Amino acid sequence: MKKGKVTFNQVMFSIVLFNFGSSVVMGVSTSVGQEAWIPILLATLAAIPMFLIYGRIITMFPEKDIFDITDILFGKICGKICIALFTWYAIHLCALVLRNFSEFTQISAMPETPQLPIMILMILTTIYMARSGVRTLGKWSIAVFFFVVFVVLFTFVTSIPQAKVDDLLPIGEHTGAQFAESTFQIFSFPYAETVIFLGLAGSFKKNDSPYKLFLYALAIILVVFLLVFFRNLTLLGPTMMRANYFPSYVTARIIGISDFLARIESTISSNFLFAGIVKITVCLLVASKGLASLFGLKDYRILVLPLGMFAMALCCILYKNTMEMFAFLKYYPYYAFPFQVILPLFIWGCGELYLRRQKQERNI
Amino acid sequence: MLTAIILFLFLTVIIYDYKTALKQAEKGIKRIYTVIMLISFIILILDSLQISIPSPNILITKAIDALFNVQGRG
Repeated sequence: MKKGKVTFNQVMFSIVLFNFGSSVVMGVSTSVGQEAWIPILLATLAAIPMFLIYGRIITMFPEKDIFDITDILFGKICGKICIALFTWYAIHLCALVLRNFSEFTQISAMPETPQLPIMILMILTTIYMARSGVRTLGKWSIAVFFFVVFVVLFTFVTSIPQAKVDDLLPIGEHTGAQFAESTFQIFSFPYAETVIFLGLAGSFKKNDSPYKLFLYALAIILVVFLLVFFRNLTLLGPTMMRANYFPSYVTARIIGISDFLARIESTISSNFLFAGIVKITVCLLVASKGLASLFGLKDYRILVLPLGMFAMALCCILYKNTMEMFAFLKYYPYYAFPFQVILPLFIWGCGELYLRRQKQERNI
Repeated sequence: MLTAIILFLFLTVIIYDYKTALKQAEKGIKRIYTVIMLISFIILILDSLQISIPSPNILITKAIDALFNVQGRG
């Protein structure tokens, strides 16, 4: 195995856990209540072409990450602007996820503890992981993936005796506009956040098909999201699911098998912790690579710690309270759209033109 | 208490990093490292002293509201 390269499974599981990151606990968009399975499916369909574009970008420039690619395509000034934008998105996303984690921990387990110590523990762990490199992250993803999926399956199966299938009805209660908005939300959070992986594309093996990588990951994510949604809905009902900030956690509190197994909500917290570590580490790695590329530095690893500290500082000032955090979710799709869709589309288009010109020059 | 935690954290990580990675680093890296650490430290200290610092999210939400009127749509 080449030094610093990650295997197909390592990348795929990293993408899956990255997508689970916040969504497994915060739940995918519940604005259309019992009908949210429709926007989940629609968002998955919308994500397919986007994932194919991400795959095409990687195929066009094998063993290069988005920072090398923008440098090749747009030259020094425009390239640096793109790198700066992408780096900002990575570090901001890192801070957002870190805040989700600290808010969740404070609300669910440590209401009297300030969020700062929770953030410090989380960020130090992810800094260590990011400094250890992409392969360590890949190995971690493989190690925890099965646990995370097992927890989802276990909670789904154990929730069946208490499930109220009537909660799935009625269908057709919401308008097309509501579905469109919900689809847009799920598309941008979490599906299209996968764009961050373009920053790690330099570590993918040349022979591994990025299309397969993204599409297999998307299939796993879809199945798990549907399981999580149906479990939460049939146990909580649409009203309670909408009213709760962390529906998965509340659902797990209800689940109980006879008298001997109850209070399994800690498994949901561990899911958030394990997948959250992957998401924050990926963001930190990409932000460090971006910053190193911006200033033309060879080693990105040394920048992981200051960027981790910066993400933590940013995380502290992002919101005043939990309500603000959830209110920002309404704005997030609009904010993230340029980074998740416009920038990759632009890179893809310019990449195709660049490759065609190169081919013509070779023929001459 | 939070201020003390931040001071302890920064002292520890800087000493550790200086002894391990930072010593042999290029000048450019050292400069960027120092600037980012300083900015982070100032933000965290001000926040721990409950001095309000404007969030970048406010700017983002205002800009999006101006363009798409997200808040108005409820």
